[in-house]
Amino acid sequence: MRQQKMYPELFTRYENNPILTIADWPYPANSVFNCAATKYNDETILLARVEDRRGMSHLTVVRSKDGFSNWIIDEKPTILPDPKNYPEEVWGIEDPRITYVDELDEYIIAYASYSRGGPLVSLAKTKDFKNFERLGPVMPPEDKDAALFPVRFGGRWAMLHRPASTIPGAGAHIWISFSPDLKHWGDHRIVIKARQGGWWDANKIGLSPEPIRIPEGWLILYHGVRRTGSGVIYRLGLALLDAEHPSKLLRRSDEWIFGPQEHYEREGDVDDVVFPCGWIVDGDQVRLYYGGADTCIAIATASLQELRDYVMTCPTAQNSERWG
Amino acid sequence: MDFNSKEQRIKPIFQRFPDNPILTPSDWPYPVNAVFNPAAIEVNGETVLLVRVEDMRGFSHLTLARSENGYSDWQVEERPALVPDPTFNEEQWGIEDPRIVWLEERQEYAITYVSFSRGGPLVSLAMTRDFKSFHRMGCLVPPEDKDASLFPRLVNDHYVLIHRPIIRGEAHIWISFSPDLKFWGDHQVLIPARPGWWDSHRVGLGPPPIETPEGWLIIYHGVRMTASGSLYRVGMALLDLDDPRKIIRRTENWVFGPKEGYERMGDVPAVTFPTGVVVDQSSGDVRMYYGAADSYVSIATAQLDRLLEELKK
Repeated sequence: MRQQKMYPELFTRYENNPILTIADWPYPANSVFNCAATKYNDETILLARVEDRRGMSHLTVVRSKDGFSNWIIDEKPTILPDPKNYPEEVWGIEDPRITYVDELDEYIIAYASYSRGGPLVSLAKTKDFKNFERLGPVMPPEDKDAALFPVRFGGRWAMLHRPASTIPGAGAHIWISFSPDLKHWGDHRIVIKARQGGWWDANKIGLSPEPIRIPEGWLILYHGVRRTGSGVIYRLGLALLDAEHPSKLLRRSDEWIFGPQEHYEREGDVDDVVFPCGWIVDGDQVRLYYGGADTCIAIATASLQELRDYVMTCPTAQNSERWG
Repeated sequence: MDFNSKEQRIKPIFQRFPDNPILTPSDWPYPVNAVFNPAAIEVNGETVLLVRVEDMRGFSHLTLARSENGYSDWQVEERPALVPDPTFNEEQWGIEDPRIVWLEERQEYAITYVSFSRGGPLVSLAMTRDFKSFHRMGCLVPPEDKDASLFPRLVNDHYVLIHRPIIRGEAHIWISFSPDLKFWGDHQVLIPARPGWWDSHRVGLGPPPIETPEGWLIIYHGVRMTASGSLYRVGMALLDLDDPRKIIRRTENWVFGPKEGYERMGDVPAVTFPTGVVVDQSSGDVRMYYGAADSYVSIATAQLDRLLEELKK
């Protein structure tokens, strides 16, 4: 019998997945998922999206020494929507990404504020994950799945984000924008397009965790959404952006590299979703923190070297017609 | 709502120009499908319209038309003034629905228009001094966003933009601020759609804001969805002069809506879509230029005092 040729398995699920569910929570809530992740002092910090029974989300900090187990959850919500001072947060705050900015010695959090006009991108900053200062709404709706780059380019901050249009044929693509001050943004352009037709990432894509600098450029993990007869499937692909000019897409995987498989990814409030909002590089180990089925938090690990090797085998811009 | 008022029946707030529509595809020097939604501004005593022209591919570009008196004898330019520029990616599927303001401090005209990008429609800016050469400034806000205009002057040292992001078909009017016309922030809802009302489904800015002693006069369109399509009518609001994030007044009633054949029948029936206004400062005469049924350009006139009275009711 011939052995079936397998796809490379870049990410491996952690054996004790899911690591966090609502059963772990110190206060009543409906679900906990889509968390940002970063290193703070010697700890792994997750900023988890928590949805209450009204249907609205807030963010809560969770800490662990080893990044895998013994999670300490803040007793109360860490960042609650503040619609009185920030009307754009009226229906909750969601899906954070954290970028540590060395130059500021601060963590910048990009998150979705669910405004009366739809979800939009807001920024906040913190030094200690106890005190947070909001920078306000930085993109009008509908826009989400945003993360800041940790460095400036030609003096300007850069952010990836995903505005959405419902105009037939337009599609939801990953855009890049630039800012002199983190508050006012412009120079908007598409950097990664959703493909068309039968591709796994046709019509709708979005950034997953924040960009990671590798020697080859900026490593991007993004999600592609396939619409099926019974709903959606959220899967992940890799891309590489130019180190100096991050609006330039250098490589992009043809195939998805991680997708819903286990029951905690297959069944939940939104079935068939893996949705990472954070990853941490420790030596060669990459720990990817992702929401499973909009219901729990899970971990998958990878070797950074293997991710780098893989992305460098992906098609280049010469084949860009297949990029949508 | 005053049920005893006969005034509105006797004399409507806006009156249609008798020779409407003033511009149709048959007036065009080259073959086109539709001409509508023009920006309007007075330049050296002449009225200049920058008209949205849709070709037979379904893509739009912008063409100038001029008139001495602002009503008749329109001279349509032989060639388009602004065509989608392929070096600006976001203009892939055409450019649409311009608004013009004169920026005194920059001594140039600023044109906000819709670029139809691969990611959906978004708001772009182009500058001109002479309506011959245009300098593109790129896109101001990402998609899906349209119906945008700058305020005609700085407010508290910031440029101010009104625009209309759309989410899943529904939309409110938003306001944003910029120190330099390039980078925008401080986005917030300005005029929300009103569930159940004539402007329940979407609202969007019409012509650029008009500065009056009472405040910034806003003419906007409101959309109601009906069983047979959408109904585009016109309402008004008044914003605080020093803090345009504050709404002082908003009309309960719509003040203008589709009625005549050229508004009722066309590529998109039942649409009156004002995008330009010229105010004669000495007489207070207001000429509002609007697209009718996404097919023609028409004029409605009003008195500025009467508009402000209506807002103060």
